[in-house]
Amino acid sequence: MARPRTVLCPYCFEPWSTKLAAFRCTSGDAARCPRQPDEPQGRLRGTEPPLAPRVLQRQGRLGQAFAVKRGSPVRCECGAPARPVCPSCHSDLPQRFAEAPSRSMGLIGTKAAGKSNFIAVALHELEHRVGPRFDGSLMLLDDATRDRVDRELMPRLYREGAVLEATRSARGDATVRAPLVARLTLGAGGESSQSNLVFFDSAGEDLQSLDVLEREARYITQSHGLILLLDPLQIQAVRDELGGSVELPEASADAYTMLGRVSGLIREARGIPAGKPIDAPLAIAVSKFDAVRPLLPEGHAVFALPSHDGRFDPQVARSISAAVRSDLGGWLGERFDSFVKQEFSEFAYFGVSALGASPVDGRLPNGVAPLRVEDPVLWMLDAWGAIPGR
Amino acid sequence: MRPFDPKTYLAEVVAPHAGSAELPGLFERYLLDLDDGDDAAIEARMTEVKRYWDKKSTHPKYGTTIETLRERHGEALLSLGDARERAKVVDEAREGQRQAAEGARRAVEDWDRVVAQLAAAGGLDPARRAQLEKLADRAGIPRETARAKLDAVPAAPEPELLDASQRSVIAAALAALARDLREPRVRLSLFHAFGLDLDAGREAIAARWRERSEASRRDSHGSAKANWDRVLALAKIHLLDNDPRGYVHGLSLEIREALEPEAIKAVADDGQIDEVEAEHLQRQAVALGLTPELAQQAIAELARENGAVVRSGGTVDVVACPNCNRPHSRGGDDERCQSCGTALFIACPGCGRRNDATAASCGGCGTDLHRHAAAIRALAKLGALLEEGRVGQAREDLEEATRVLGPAAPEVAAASREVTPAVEAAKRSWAEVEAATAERRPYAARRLLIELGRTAADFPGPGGDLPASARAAAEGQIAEAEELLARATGLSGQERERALVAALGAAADCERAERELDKLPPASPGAVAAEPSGARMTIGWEPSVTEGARYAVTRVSAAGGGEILVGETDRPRIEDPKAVAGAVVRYSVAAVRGRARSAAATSEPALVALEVADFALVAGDGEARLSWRPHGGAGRVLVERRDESDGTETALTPDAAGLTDRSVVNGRRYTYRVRVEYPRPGGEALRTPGATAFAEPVERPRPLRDLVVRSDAGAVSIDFQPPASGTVVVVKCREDPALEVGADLDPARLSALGESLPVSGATATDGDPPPGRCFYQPLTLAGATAIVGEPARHVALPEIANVRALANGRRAQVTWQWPEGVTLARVAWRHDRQPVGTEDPKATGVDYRLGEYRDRGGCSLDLGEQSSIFVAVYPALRVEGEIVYGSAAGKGARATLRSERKTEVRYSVRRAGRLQKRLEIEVSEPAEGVLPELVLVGREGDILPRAVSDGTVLARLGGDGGPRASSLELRGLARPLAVRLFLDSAGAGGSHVLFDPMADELLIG
Repeated sequence: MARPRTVLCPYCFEPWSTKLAAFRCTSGDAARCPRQPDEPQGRLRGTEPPLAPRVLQRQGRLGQAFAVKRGSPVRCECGAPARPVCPSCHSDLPQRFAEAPSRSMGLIGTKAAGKSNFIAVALHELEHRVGPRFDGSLMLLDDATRDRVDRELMPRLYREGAVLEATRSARGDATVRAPLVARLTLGAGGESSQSNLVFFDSAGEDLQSLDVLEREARYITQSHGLILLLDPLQIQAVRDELGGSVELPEASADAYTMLGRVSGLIREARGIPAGKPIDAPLAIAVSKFDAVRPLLPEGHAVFALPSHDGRFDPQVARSISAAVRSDLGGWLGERFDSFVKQEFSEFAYFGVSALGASPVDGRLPNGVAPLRVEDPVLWMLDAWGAIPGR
Repeated sequence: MRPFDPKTYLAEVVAPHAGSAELPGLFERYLLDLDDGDDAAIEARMTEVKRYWDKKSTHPKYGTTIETLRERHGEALLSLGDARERAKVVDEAREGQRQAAEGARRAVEDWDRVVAQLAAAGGLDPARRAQLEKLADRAGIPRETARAKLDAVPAAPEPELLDASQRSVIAAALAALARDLREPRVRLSLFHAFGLDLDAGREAIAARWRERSEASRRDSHGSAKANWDRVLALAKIHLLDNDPRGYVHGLSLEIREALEPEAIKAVADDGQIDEVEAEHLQRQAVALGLTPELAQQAIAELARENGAVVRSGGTVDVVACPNCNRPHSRGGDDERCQSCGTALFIACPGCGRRNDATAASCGGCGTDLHRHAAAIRALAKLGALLEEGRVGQAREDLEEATRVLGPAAPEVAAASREVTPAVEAAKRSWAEVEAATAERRPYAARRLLIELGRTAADFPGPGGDLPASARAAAEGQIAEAEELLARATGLSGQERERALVAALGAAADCERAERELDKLPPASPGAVAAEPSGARMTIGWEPSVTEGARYAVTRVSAAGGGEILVGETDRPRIEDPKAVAGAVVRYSVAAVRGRARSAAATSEPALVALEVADFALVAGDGEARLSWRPHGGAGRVLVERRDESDGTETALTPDAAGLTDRSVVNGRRYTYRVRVEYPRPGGEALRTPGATAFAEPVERPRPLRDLVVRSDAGAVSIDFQPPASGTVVVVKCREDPALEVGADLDPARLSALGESLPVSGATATDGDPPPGRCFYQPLTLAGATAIVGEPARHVALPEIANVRALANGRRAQVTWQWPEGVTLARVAWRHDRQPVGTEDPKATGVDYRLGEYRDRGGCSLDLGEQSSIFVAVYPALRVEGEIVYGSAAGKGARATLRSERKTEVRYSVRRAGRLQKRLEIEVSEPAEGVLPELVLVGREGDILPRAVSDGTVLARLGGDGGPRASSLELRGLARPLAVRLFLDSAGAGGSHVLFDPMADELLIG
């Protein structure tokens, strides 16, 4: 498979050409390899430059700069081996990160829309159900992701049967800015395709404030695609229709406003003039879809159409999108759809449920039974041309 | 560059690394120095050495190491052949050298610090000095330097020699302990008592002392504990509070004195102690308790004192017996001591290494062997303890050995086989003593306690008393009884009788008191009366005035045959079941006390008019069966039946032992009365009152099937459909009862099947379900038989809860709550009703693992063409390769997805015509039949209409006789256009469900 020409750092969101590579010395002996102030790391963290082992730059042919011969690691001048880091921010890169195209998905949504549950369940589905059906696999790429997924997200959801706690705001905790990085391989042999998926999970409140959004959620502007998670139980029309039949969350800021802020930021960051749509695909996923089932016709496409079982079926995706778009139009009015159409060149609507049923006192007695949670991810991969055989 | 000398290369470079995984350093293996920088010379040297390796690669001793060096040559060439790489390796090597030098410097500093501490603490004794010399060697300190430093440290003052009187106190205490433990070695020294050598350090002594003190606290009181406590106190004073060397010197002195005569004899003939004599003396010294080093030292001093020389180079290499300390040559074949047979070696429980049985710790892994060896020795002595009657000590030693060695150790198992019977026998004897004491039989208790004192003197009874103290209590009771007996000797009449009775009260087994009472006959009983009572005679009389009298009752038949003893009793009444029916008899009653007997009182003659015996009445299907045991030919049996529905009475003619009455009607209640008529001696007949029973014949019930088993809060409920007739019994069986369903079973066999459960209404309850699998066998009792039903297998597993089934297209997504500990479940489903169980032949089932469930988010079942599905989920468990299922009858374990038979309506929209200007809408499903009224709604734009009101009605289809298809001209309609079909009336949603085609058909560009 051809190596990518550019790579997007999952930490500073700066793209760089794969002609350039950087490596950091791994020597633990400060006497042998003197520590130096690391300006880029300081900039990234917003702190004084930390003292760190030196970073070496290397240039090579396109796609080859990071290539390392087996058994011959890149060595620092002090003789110790060196590991790859981002040339821009000097953050350690996940293993073999530069070997596959990086595709980052920014997840946005109002507070309590179910973003963390969505990411956790989507990763689980990609690993356990979708991956195998597409002759593929999912591999978590860095220690932080493995720690978060294997020790926090999966045990809580799948072992304890408890919903995830609300994501902490990046204002108070810088660690929440760490993305979840995984490599998804679809297809086998020469037909296979690899993608580094970078998921960003943000606290809903961080997306509702423009200043925080600008400062802490910059990744959104650099994401290759956006998933907007819409909580139907926060839409007034749905709340009215459902009455007291289900437990309703507190209504948060409306998704329309949030999407407006996000698209404004993206335009600003990428220099896209008004009138020209943003070229990143937007998946609008209506979450907690199981809860609105009583409001939908019995033969609704989300429930009636088959899942993408080993093959992405664009007809099914289009039909579901049309049905959900129609529902949302009924609940939100046409303003939302018009805005989406005006701002994004490629978009689709989905109905998903990460948990499959409403939790009872924060617990899922029957475990996680997701509904079409993989659909937005597959659609986006298809939009990027990352599904083999399509 | 150093020269390469093939003659010394192997010895100097390869030999130090032979057999180890580590190779000589890169420079060392080519005899290069770190400063060598001439590339050509380096390459030449490497080639030269490589050539040498090639020649020596099959060297018998170093071939393997050389072969590895050859394999690494290429790699070395890359590193050393390239100046830049070589520079890195030089750096690394220099760094290694620097670190090694740093380590060596630290080791020297540590050594110096220890020497300084010892100097400050009073100086060096020879043993410490020897240890420090060894340490200096290891730290790489030149010997001369180390010696010079050690010479500078003052010698520690010799400890004060422990005086002989103190040593004799210690020796006496050790001798007593050795006797108690039956370990002669213990008497050698305090060190030996703790399983230590004489050169043990204070830390080791302190550790062993603490360990033994703990054990002593646990020991039960006795001489062993007292002896240990004495030895512990002495060890505290002489080994811990004072310098132990004083004690050791004293011991050495004693042993030297003991060996002196023999040494003098050895010196006398030739003025020297030759090798053979020296070894002999050393062995004796070791046998007396010295270490081989101290023994060698003692012999040398003996020789010096006697002006002789010793012709011997080293210490003897012996292994001492852990029991008697006899030394044995280590190289010999002895595995056990030649004197006492104790094993000389033990295998380490940690690593299996063979160690001396006297070793304090394993030479391989350092495991503490003292307790292990002590336990093995203790086990070897259990037989002797049992022979001595010390069962209690044997039990304690076995328990301690079990703690140390583990119950699975073969030695423990063998010892247990020996000790356990003795312990059980002692317990049994104690139980008999307890019984005798409770029954106030002190003579018997004393006999038993005397025997216990012989066989298990140290085995306490349930109250904690030893046999000796319990025996003292029994003796006290006996003394009391004897005193009362002595007082009775001087009395007469009733006073004497009362005193004798009191003596028996004190000791019920006092034979003398019994004998004396036998000489005083009791008073006779009063009037005797006899009468028939059912199937036996009842005899009563007025009691005797003598206290404590019993009564002997005899029967005399008028037909002759002598007196027959009916029985003895202490009550004024007795029953005689053996009197022959129809006979005329008299009964005599005499009061008895011991061997004394009163005159008898006799009844009037009485006719033995007995009812029939073992009368039984069983109602069946259209019959009633009566049975009894006849009394030979005596009497005539009469049967009367009364129909309770109308009061009709009928006399029936029976056979000798019963009758089957088939003239009955199912569902009616009948009373049967069975009487016997006996002829009296005067000719007049006597009829007994008769035995009465009721019967209600019923139709034979059908066997019970389809039990529903439910688990709830630790109990299991078994529901059944109550039969039209009969009584349901549910028996809990541990194994499959394997009975033929529908077969008849004798109700008497029910208890052999298992436990009958309480039944209330249509539910039997098992309040104590067994763990694992069991069977609930239903039976219907009807008359004299039990009809076998179909058993239900049940596995006690926590029940699955919260089962839900949700429709997703043509699939049902089933989810449930996994109970704690259950990781396997059986999902069973039917489309007509709930599955009856996991073995329901009409149900489909699949086994589902918890991991699978999590991966798939539940269990997805294909509905196919069915609209309803009934699902039950059973917990399951894999037992020895077989999957067994629990029960799932609870509501939470079942779910139903039942959609009313709705008709699916599907349609298609396609563009037609040469210019695609026409839109054709056609209902494809259902293919025929009546359609509900449908409306096609069009909406301008690319968003589908969500309701009819969202757009314009473009066409109408269906309805009664309405069209199934429609064609529209697109001309004139706004574009893009989104169309969708809707059911025209909300009511139609109750019977029809509408499915849209793919969106591509509905969005018209």
